[in-house]
Amino acid sequence: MADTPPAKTRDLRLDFFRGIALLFIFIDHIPENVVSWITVRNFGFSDATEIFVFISGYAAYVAYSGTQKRVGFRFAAARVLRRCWQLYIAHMFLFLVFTAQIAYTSDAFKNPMFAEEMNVVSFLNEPHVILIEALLLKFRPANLDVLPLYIVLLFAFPVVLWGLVRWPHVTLAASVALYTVARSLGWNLPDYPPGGGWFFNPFAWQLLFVTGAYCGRWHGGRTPLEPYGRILLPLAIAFLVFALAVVLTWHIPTLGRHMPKWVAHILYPIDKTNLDLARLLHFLALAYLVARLVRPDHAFLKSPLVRPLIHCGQQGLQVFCVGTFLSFTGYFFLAEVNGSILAQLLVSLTGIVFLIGLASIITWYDAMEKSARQRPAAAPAERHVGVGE
Amino acid sequence: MMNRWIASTFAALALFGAPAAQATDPRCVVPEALVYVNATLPHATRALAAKQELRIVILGTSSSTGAGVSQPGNAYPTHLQRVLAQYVAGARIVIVNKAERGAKAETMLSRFEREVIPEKPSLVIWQTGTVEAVQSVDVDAFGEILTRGIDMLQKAKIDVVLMDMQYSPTSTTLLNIGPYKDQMHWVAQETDAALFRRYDIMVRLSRDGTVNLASLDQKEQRRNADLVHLCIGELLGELIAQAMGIDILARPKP
Repeated sequence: MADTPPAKTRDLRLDFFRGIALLFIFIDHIPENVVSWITVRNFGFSDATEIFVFISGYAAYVAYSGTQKRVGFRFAAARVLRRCWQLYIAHMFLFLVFTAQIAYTSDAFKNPMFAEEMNVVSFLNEPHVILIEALLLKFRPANLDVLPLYIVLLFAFPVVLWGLVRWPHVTLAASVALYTVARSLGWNLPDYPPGGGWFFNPFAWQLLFVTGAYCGRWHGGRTPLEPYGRILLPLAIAFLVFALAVVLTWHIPTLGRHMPKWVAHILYPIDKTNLDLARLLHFLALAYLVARLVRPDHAFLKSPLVRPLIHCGQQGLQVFCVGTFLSFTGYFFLAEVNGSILAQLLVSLTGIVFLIGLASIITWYDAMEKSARQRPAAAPAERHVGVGE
Repeated sequence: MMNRWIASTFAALALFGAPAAQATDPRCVVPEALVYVNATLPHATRALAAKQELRIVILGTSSSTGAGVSQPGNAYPTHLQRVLAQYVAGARIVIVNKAERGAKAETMLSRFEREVIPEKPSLVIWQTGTVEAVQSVDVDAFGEILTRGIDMLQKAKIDVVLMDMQYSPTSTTLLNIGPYKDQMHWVAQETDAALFRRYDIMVRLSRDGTVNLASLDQKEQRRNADLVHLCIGELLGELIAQAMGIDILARPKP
């Protein structure tokens, strides 16, 4: 979604898994969708949001530390902020589309049986307030939470970049410290209407973003974790199996009685807002396992079947925004017209095909534009900092 | 341990599709796993045996007051009373409904000491979570309130059934139900409160085509509300009876 590294060092795994994460987010944003059974959240504590935030941090480091090395810190920071602005505009557009959709369909919410639930559209009664609150990123309807998190994380990224280049370990330690302090003191950004703060608390989720950026330092080389593979691999697998076993007790109520009380006591509640340790560890275990199994030069990454997913990852911002729009639209179709399992499958599949098609068209367009620009003049084309880079 | 795990996984998967064979209205039949009894109700069981009486207090929001049904007698508490009376033939079932539109768990908790415990119930049905999700309050704080409330009731020798939210297909787009629902399920597991999975049951009824919860037609909305409340009352009765060790299959033959 951000900031792809230069082509020669491009690690297709990033694009591939970001593409998968974005399609998962689309599927998961359609409530009660049977297809969401295949997504990562049903097999462990963490979900596609973690994948997305981590990879975004990683890619941001690779892209902007490159700029910093070539041109200097000031320009790198300016590029980060410019990107941040693009994301803000994208979020605002998405908010407008979303609000228009809700306002247009607001009659569908009127049902006396759901007297309390109906209040979720009460924001339509005070446009004079919510517009300002939305511009301030305080009012964020459900499912429109990820982009604001990303905007804030990227906004603070120049500082992180500056730190990571000079004192990487100190910077990571500072990030861990902020995570710990914010969690124990209950720091969060304010929301509107005043409730529990941002659903994805940036003070907590920054840890995953910074960890991603920290890992980006070893991009294309050997990681210092390699000598410990014999210990880390079984640990990671053991934790993933444990998480799977716990999550099964959520989906199959009869299994609940096998869950030892003391484990439940330590583990619950698993706090998504503040990036619970269980979620963080689960994601790190998953990322480690995947990085071990799938090497950057793995043959499947070059297969034509996988290319559409890679395109989705490369055109992340567009895929994310259109995916959010499609998940509302698809869900309204399921709720109002036909909600059968077949309809759910069709809606999900249509959405995925649409998103893949969109990503492929944008990729084609970008390539055409690049070659068109190179043709007339021999001068080297300026690296284009567009959306989707 | 692992073998037991695997065995019960398969057993559960097999059960998941199998409809329960009780004396409920055929339209309300759902897979047994959705009315899985996760805890016993020792105080209610004892009170029933000793006094031939079961006193229940309902705490909840507008859905427990019967919002949307065509007449007050069609709300789930009435059905619950009828069904329980069938299961405990001869005993008296008293239900005191203290539900209030728009009430948060926190508000309900503040009423425990002066308004709930003095009623001397042996069972409290605590329906909550909706208003919290609508107002997106702090999820962890919500969990702490639940734990505190259940603890207080259990100390006063009162059993608790936690009832989660309604499933509303339209509002779900805007409501972040998941974290609040998970929180309730975890609290139930940790505190040994019984859990009534109303949300999952309503998803099931909706997906089966039993009810169309997105209907815009007012008559159909009322009809659907009546049916949902009938099912909730009957299935909740089933869960409570089973949690008190009553063999519901041995009672009225289907």
